[in-house]
Amino acid sequence: MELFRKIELENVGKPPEQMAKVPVDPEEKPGIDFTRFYRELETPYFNPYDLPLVLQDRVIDPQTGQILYDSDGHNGYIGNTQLINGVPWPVIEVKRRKYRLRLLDGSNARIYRLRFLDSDTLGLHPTGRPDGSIEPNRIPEQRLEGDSMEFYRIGKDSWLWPTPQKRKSLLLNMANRADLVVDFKAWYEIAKRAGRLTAEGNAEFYMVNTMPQFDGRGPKGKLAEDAGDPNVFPLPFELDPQNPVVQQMAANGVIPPAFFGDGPVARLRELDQPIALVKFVITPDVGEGPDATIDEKTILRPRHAIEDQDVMAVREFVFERGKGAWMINSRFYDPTISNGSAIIGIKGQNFQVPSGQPSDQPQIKPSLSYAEEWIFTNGGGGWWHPIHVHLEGHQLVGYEKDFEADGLVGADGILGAQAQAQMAGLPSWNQLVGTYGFDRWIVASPNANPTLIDLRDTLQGIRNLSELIAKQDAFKLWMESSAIAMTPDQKAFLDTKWSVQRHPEVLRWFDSFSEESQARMGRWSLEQFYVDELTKDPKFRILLDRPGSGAALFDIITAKFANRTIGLPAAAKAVLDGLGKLKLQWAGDIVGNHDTQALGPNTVARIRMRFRTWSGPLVFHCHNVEHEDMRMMVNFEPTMSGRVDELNQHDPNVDPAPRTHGQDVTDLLTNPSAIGEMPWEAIDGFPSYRWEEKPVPGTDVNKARDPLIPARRPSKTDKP
Amino acid sequence: MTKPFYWNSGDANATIKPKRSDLFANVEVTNQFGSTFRFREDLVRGKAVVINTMYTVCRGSCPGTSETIARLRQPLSKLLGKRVTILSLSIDPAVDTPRALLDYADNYGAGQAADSRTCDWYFLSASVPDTETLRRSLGFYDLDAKVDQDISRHASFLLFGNDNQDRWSTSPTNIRDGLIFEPLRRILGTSVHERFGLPHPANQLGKQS
Repeated sequence: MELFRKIELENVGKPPEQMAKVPVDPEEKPGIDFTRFYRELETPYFNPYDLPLVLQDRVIDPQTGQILYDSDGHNGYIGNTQLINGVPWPVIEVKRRKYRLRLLDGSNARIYRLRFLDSDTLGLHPTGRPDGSIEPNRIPEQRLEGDSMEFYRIGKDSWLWPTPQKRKSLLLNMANRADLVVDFKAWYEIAKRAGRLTAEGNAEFYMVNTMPQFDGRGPKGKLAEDAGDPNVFPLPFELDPQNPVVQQMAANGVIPPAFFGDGPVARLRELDQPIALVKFVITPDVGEGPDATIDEKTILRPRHAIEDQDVMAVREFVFERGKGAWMINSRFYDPTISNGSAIIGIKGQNFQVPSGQPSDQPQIKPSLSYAEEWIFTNGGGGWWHPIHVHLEGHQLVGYEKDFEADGLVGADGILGAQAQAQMAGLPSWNQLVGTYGFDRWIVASPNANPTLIDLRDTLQGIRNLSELIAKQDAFKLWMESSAIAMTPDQKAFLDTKWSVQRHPEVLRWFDSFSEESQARMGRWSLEQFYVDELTKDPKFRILLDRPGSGAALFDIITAKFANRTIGLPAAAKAVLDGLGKLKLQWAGDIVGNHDTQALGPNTVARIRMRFRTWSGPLVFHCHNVEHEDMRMMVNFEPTMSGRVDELNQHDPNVDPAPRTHGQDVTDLLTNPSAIGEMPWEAIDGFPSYRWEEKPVPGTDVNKARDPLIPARRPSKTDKP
Repeated sequence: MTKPFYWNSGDANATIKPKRSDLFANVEVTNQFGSTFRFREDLVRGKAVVINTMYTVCRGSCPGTSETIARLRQPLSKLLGKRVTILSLSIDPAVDTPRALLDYADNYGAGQAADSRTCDWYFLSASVPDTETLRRSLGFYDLDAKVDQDISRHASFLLFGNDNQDRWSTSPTNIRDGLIFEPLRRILGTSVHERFGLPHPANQLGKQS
């Protein structure tokens, strides 16, 4: 390597014929000219303790041994055979030391929940099961978590996390990668202490998948009895145990406490019969070289968050199924135009309403070195879309799921029993009131509307404070007849003349009674009044019992009672807003970067990107092959404009020097610098593209064979 | 090693290779002129086909799709002549009688038998259960039962293939014609000249002389 670098430095600036040759073994790499610009390294990276593992599920034809693929299938290819690096159910022999595992979900539509279990837990004890049964081992969820082996997760996709995180399980979406450091030495010791070493002195562990998924749309949880309902797997990542909503879920038993016990991970439903993918056999040999020293305090890659003020523009993309194919913003991919986005906000400018007209489709031209926020919305239908943005990692700043659109809420606006059960632990409006004291905040407002009294049970017709004040005499009589104990002060206040100007005093008077007395007097809380009023609104009725409904409720309330000038402190709104969405796992999803964002059904993900690497035409697309082929893709083009213009002068929609978008990049006759695409029109009578006589750029088509896709090799049973 | 058994043949000793079209339902279909065919054996086997689903009273995507196909038919005929057939399958056979389909076809220039230079464009109808079977075997359905039942949200993409080479593909229709025609040519054509739109050497010789 040193030699290579030395020669490389010496070669800088020299013409090719004067360059020193890099010494390579000619038998190993014959015919490779190492003086060219792109050179292979003398020795490619290889570390025997660094295992890249590609997870794929495939359908294998038992007759031919070939992988089956239905080119006409549009339902998300999922397979029945798990291949790891192309091998079904491999056994990997590892040394008794730390390894780095690099996992890639190379499946088309399968999402994995990966764990490492020993053979006892999995029910595959080498000596056979104690009771001799062949019934698969059903593992209760608590035991599943408790018996999973620990490892460090150090990164996602091509990005290391700031520090390693100790984990017991791992969620891996399509096209996502995970970087782990596994201490096989510690696992070996555990197996040894438990007396589970094999006769050869090896310890055996399995990497298993516990994600319930039965069709190509996405995973399915066990909560739904309808086997077709894919919606109960709500999030593509772990929950944040620091989040108050998640804590409420844990406190109310929605998430068993055991899941928080050893690792900071709240998890969702899993299969109780894990599917083994890989068998690791740990030998007593410790291998050569020093072992890795990584632990939770190791600093890997500091994170620089893209803050609000860094965002130059906000764009929105809606992913949906349409006409049997796949659309983004209601359009199919067209390679020659930038066809996708309506910009919805630009820094330093007034908010712009997207026109939505195809003819007015703005171009997507972010500026290099500046950041944008993109809002990915999945239109539903139960489909998952792994959205892969080319050549730049992004940060996830928000992920919200619409449970209502998932159909968890019935047509009558009432939550289904399952949904009730699922969401029971999350704070409802009433809990919010109790927890955060909205009662006091709202009532303390001097502008609060006097609609605080409901005496329907006692004095017919008196429904608010104004009426009560008007009928003070009747109320006084009722109070005396009700025999509610009053202190001299209270009695004195009742005897004074009430007026509309004395609302706060009257309220304070009501408040000075005990709760029991207040209940008899008919003093309803403001919240109860709102609940009562709003329950007539089906949407409110839905929200009332929903998790994280605070922000939406606040919107409804302010809209409905806008003319009543409710005063709500900013602090209260902040709490509501915070509870309006489940926050993300800090380590993986807030702090880490992503290359591919898994987008579940009926969700909105907000990502932020800083474009640094490349100016030119790029795409982002759904990584599900069927979706991508059926045109779920969008062009975008980072430009240099942001470097030239003043920050606030730059309009990311209008590039001062447009390169390709909006032009026909195939028209090399008039635009020789255009990026080459295949010519598509050579037929007379077809809309003219002047391409009949031109070969495909860079390809000698006359040498192309016919057919380009070779025929199948004849099988031995074919007749000659 | 056991002999491969190809289920479609029903014969354990068969040596016919399985093809994608084996999965297509071989139901009886009637075109707009009243002729009756077996879908797989008569219309797909050994041919190049472009298939879509439609129904005559559709106010959504069907008119646009039919319009697109009508536009593509001319260059397609120029390229492949009679070797390609366009099949528009009605998914509302209770309404779409052959007569109704003929009226509909007439709007798109398929109201009369095609001449010798133009590829055939058949508007097909079958019995209700046969239509359901056929549509599912071709992949024109949605996993979401609610969407699948809603005829106005039916899949309106093109399924096209060349049965001889067993090459099949699909494309949505409301994109630019060039974007549809390119894969059509690549899949349906047999020679490199057809597939990449190059002038045929024989034609070139003819032009030179």
